[in-house]
Amino acid sequence: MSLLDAAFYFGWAVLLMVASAGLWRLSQGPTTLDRLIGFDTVTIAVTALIALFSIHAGTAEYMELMLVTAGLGFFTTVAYFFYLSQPKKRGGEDFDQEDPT
Amino acid sequence: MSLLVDIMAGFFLIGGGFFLVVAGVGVVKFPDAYCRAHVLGKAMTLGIIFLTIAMGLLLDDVPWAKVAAYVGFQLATIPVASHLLCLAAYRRKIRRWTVRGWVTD
Repeated sequence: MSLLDAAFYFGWAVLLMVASAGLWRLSQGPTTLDRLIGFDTVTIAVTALIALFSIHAGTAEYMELMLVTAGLGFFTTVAYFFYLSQPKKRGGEDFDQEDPT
Repeated sequence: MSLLVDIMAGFFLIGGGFFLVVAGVGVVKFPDAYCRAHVLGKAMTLGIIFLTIAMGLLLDDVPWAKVAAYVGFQLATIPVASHLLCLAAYRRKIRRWTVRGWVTD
């Protein structure tokens, strides 16, 4: 196993760790924005995982898939921002309150 | 020549992995939403740009214009998403963490 393969497997381990961190923040975040940050982290980690899988497969046919995944994450964030910046209707609670400590 | 390309690709892979580790630790350990959006916008952008350049170096048939377009797309979108998250947090009056304690404004 060459040093380049070692760096490659290091990349796999790192990306799985980053996706786990994003999922942990998605489940634990005290506010809705923290959950959105966790979702964005998972999206970027999935994009980088597609890049590593493209290296593993030895073909460049996954660049469009990377673009589509990154665009989906970005437009999800923008859409949720516009949803959160609307005034609250019908008294419904759409935002997690922080703990008072 | 090929050895030089391999050394550069390994450098970019390890550098990208390092910055992504920093981003993951920051997403877990930072105290409030502003700091987490900050680590999302800076460290994670640099890490994924490094990984994309490593992919362009290691694959033979990838056009560099596509790699440049992808890097430009990430540079344009991830900081904008981070800024929008901070703006939403500021409009909702989420409390901030400073070195002197928590601040609500």
